[in-house]
Amino acid sequence: MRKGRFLVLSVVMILIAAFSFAQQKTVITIQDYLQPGYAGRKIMNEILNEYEKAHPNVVIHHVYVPFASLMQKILEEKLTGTLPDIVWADNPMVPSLIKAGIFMNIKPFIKDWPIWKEMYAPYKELVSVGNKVYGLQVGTNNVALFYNGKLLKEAGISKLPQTWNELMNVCKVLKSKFGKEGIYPIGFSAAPEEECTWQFEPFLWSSGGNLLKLNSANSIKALQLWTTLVKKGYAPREVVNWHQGDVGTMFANGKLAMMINGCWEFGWHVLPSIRKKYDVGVTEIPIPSNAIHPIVPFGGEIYGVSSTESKEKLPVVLDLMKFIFSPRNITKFERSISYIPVSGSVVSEFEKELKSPEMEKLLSPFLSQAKYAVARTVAGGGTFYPQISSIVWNAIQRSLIGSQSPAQSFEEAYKKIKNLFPSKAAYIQAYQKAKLAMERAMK
Amino acid sequence: MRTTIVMVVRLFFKKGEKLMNSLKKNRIYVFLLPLLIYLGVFLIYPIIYNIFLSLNNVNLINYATGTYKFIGLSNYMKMLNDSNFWISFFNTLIFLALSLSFQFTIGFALALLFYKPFKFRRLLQTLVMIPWFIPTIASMSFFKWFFSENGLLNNTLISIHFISTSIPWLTSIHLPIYAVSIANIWLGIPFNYILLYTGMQSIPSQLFESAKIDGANRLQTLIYVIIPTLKPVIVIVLMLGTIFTMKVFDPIWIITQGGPANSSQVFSTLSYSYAFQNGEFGLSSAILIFMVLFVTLIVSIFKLLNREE
Repeated sequence: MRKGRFLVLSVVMILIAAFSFAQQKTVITIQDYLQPGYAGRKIMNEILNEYEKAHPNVVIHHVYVPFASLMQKILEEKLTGTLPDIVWADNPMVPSLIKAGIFMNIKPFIKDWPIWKEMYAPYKELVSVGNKVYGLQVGTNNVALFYNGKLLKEAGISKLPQTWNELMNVCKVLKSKFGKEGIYPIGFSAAPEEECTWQFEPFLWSSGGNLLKLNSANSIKALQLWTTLVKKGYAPREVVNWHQGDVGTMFANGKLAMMINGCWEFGWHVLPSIRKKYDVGVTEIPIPSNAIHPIVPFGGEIYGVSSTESKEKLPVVLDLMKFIFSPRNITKFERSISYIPVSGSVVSEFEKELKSPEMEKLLSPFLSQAKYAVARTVAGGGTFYPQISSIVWNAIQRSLIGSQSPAQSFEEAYKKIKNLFPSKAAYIQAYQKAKLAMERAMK
Repeated sequence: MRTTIVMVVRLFFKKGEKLMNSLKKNRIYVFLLPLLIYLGVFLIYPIIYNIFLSLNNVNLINYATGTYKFIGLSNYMKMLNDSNFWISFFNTLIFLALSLSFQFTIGFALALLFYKPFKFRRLLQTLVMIPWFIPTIASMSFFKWFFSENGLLNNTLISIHFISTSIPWLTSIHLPIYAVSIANIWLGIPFNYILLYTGMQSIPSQLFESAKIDGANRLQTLIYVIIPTLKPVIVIVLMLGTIFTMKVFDPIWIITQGGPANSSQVFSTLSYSYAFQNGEFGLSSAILIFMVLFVTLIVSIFKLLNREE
């Protein structure tokens, strides 16, 4: 009986001590969709562990949420007051999440940070509302044209396609050479979700088209290109079911001579062994003959501080953010997921980190396109972007499967997009904003 | 003072005794209480909350800030004027009709086949259950490849010269709903088979003997003995099959995501798209409430048929 009482008392005292000890540490939660087993998560964990070692009174919980569940999760957390300290969000979600009050204005704290001072304008614009700043872009990506060097050489193609006409000619040659082997000249993602709109936007914007004026001749021209690629059998009809990962898989298996995909592929499907096997190269997205350079959407994610952050923890949270966004650490992270820098303060560190002439050459088209990259939400109706994207991908799919002509599907889509806005004035404002973004990118 | 305390304690225990007697008399409700709480929290509350959402202009932003407004039946009017809703309505009917009829017919045929013992019966019964063993993501990914233009189905049909060019099962406007229905039929066969087989096992053998004595052949035995005896089980299988089929989401989302161009959307996938791709929670809830009412109507018809018998 005595022994039992003593045991219970000991356990209770140990628990009280552990609880008190834990209470003295500052616990910070950082939430994102960097997958377990993925290089990005490994590197971010290394960065966070390094911070913990240097700050023994800080404990960091790095929480993973699958991409598809992130919006839901953030909403639940906002409603229950359980937002993590540092919140990650994909670019198209950012304006909606800012308006939903998820992020704190961190402008007073970060305005003198080198990463912010030298951040390129489009990336500042994405996270800013008026004079307030709600997050920092971790890095960026965009899409370009990957090619299988060995197949192109075998087909006698010495010049890489830079215009739409050249692209069609190259596809024609590739189809005649490899069509019977089941190898398609080109592949892209036209699955019923944002990936389709994202991959289509470079073609739309480079031709002078606009998401808010899809019935313009330039917009229809872009859809006509994609439709012709499918109709002539240069791209498989299956593209309407392919996500970017599926496109990467088909390319890595030698079933596509070219693909539209992003720089993250270097850490995913287009690994060193595949690059060596197929002599993989990358070039900028082909543009219409009268265009100056490709205009691509920029991708990437931001980290922001939760709007419900406590005053006591805020200095530690900001210190951790500063540590993550130091040139050394953010470059290390960007390299691990094959992203490219968004701030001049990081570029030299990034170039130093590259160390490989092969990667320099492969990343060069993405880096040059990044200079003219545009935020999707700025050129796509702001908080209406998710609905606009949905209308666009459905219109693209209708044209690709032949149930409507490009002109018909985009005319219908244009009317649906116009009706999303609460008033004609709101629509015109969004259209003007998109037009301005395009004009800036054209320069 | 002491007297007062004794009186209060006696009163407390008298009331407690009354409570205990009442509980003993109504003990069935006491045992039902956990279930009622569970149903209240996980069934009634979500339905009521969905009705509430469907009557407000809820989207991602105003839901998070709590600034949504009551708009009455506007979401329902928007839903009825949405062409995507009507596409999903007819697709749901096609999906339901094909899934129920084939799952039931094949399940019933298998139950009849396995009714009497034969060599390798147990092995074959295990193989029939395979759709339940394989994770849905794996099996539906297989079907995505199976139906693709260079997939197993097209390559087989071309090699036997049944067709000369690939059929666009997943890349046309009309065929995807049939392709996902086939995948769902495969997935639902074990459920129908197991319930019907179990039901058949409980048919008294004397009925079969009487039928044999009366000179009934196999078909007559099936029509006049098996089916009438199994009717309550058949109604339950079809009723549960309706409910489960209406809820189906994974197979369609994995194979086509409701595309291309919304051609394979059903209620569940359309509602999901509106909620989590477009952020339109109010409209999504309206579709879900419509779906619940639709299922309730069909289930009521089944129950009515069962009651008449």
